[in-house]
Amino acid sequence: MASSSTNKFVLKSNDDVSFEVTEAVAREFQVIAHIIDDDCAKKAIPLSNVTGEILSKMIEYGKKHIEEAPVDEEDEEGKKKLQIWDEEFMKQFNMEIVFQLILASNYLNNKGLLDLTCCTVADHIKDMTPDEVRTLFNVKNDYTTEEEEEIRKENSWAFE
Amino acid sequence: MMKNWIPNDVIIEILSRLPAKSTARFRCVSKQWRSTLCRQDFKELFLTRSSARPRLLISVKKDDERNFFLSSLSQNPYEKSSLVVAAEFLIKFSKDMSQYPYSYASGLIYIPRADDDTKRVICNPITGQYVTLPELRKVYGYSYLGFDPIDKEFKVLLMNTPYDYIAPSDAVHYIWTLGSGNLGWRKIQCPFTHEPFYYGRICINGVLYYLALHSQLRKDVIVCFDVRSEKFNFIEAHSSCGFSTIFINYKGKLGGITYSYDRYSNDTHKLCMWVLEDVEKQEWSTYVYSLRNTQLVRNRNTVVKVDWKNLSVAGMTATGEIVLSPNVGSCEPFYVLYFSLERNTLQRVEIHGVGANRDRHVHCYVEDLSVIDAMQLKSIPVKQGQNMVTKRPKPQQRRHTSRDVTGSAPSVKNKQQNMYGLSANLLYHSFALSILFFVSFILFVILFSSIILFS
Repeated sequence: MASSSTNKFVLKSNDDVSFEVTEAVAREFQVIAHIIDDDCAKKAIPLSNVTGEILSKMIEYGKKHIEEAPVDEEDEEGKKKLQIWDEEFMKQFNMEIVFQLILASNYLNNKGLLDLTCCTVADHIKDMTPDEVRTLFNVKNDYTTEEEEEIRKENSWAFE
Repeated sequence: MMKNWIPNDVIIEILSRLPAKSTARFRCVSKQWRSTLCRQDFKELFLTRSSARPRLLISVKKDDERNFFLSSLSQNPYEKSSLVVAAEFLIKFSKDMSQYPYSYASGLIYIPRADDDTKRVICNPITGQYVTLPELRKVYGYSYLGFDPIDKEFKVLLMNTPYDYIAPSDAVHYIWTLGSGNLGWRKIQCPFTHEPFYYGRICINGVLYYLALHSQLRKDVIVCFDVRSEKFNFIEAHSSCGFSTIFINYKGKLGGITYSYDRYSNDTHKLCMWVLEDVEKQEWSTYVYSLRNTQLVRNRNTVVKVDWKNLSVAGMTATGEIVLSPNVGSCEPFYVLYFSLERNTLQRVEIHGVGANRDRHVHCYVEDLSVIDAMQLKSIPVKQGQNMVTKRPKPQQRRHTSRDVTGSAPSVKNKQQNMYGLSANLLYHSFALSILFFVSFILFVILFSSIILFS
């Protein structure tokens, strides 16, 4: 069996864009790692829920985290460097893309990217009003005016 | 607006990373969001996440008033030599409430009373909600706040010291549970006579520890009070325990730090830390550090000069780093040093927004939604007029008063009105009941006698 650094796999997005990646990068995504382990990765691996645009970003993230992985638990310097890169990486996206990245990293099961993207959204919405959150998440307000007033009263400290 | 539909498990992933305040606000978004945010499994997930990013609760005494601040989560990764965080002002306690040392346990602050005219108060510094404890007149002694993490219950233990600061085994001590309704203070007994000390107290994993002198053994002991079972026990104190020992939570274990000037060696400070590894076997591990008065310490990429004699121990982080803060009152900006014993590293963190003052305490603060709700739920009975001596100011009023608990007087007034109202209610009810009872008794006599007559 060839080593993981030389083994290559092809990932194919739902809009027919193909990416050739090393096994190490492919294994960054749990779902793909299972496909490889089950020996089902002979041809291109089709990813029906991910667009080419999103997939390319996810591969960029995966590559970086393989190349610049901290040496060990004690490697504070390495961790910090990667953390700064992560922050810069996220800055380029609008919320629409961030949400797509969340869905894709949830689907392909990449814990690191899921954590990073969820933190980005949490940071973005933390000071929002319930109305702004409803608009962003497309949630319908199913409270009556009285009910909402009651919940507001119960949690009044959170509105100060 | 989102074009994509976001599955609920992804929503939960996002919401569990929010500050507690945002999750409370977002209960208004929709019924489904509210039920998600109030579920026990969500609260547990939230606690796991917030434990991984503990914040600092900073208490500062200024002009006899005590102010509380909370450090923010955001860090500035570009600052290489030191980290900078902002602190948010939370709450202020007036002069009469700041005289006695407060206790801190699992997110709540307990303020014992200074004299017969002030009230004992439990306060959530984050929400500004507070509860006034029922009165207990003519009982004196130290009182402590404990938290039982299994039943999520807060209790206040009052050790009655009728004379000479001694808590005798034949005296009645008192315990009060937050949210116990009209149960009030319950009586409790301690099987051994001891003299609780002013310093050295902490609650870890449902056990309240405090330093005392065992009257019979004539030895320093650590009293261990199990908050859930309400049973007392004691262990002999570590030999290095003294007046300046600060009790700490070392990764869930009881620890103590004594930070002292080394008399025998001219220019060194000695930092002695012990950790209680096993309560049953009374196994301790001890760490001693000799620190030269002024020392150059490597701080990430740079080297910083540390003046040990101007530092004192302020607390400990969840990951086991000692938090040191400068003694000098004029230090501005305020900073703390994280001293990692395991890695022998030192990190300087500047905290903006906290005034420069001498008397500062730092607690490791982890947001727990169950604790916030416990306080909230237990304040509700007041609205229903039950005899629970709590006071949650109405939201409109709170805008003016919540950030300043100086207004404890109206809370007392309200409470008394409440109590009088309740006793009047009770009187009225018992009167009505007795009439009802009387009438039914007469009816019963008439019926009975008519049965006898007819037979």
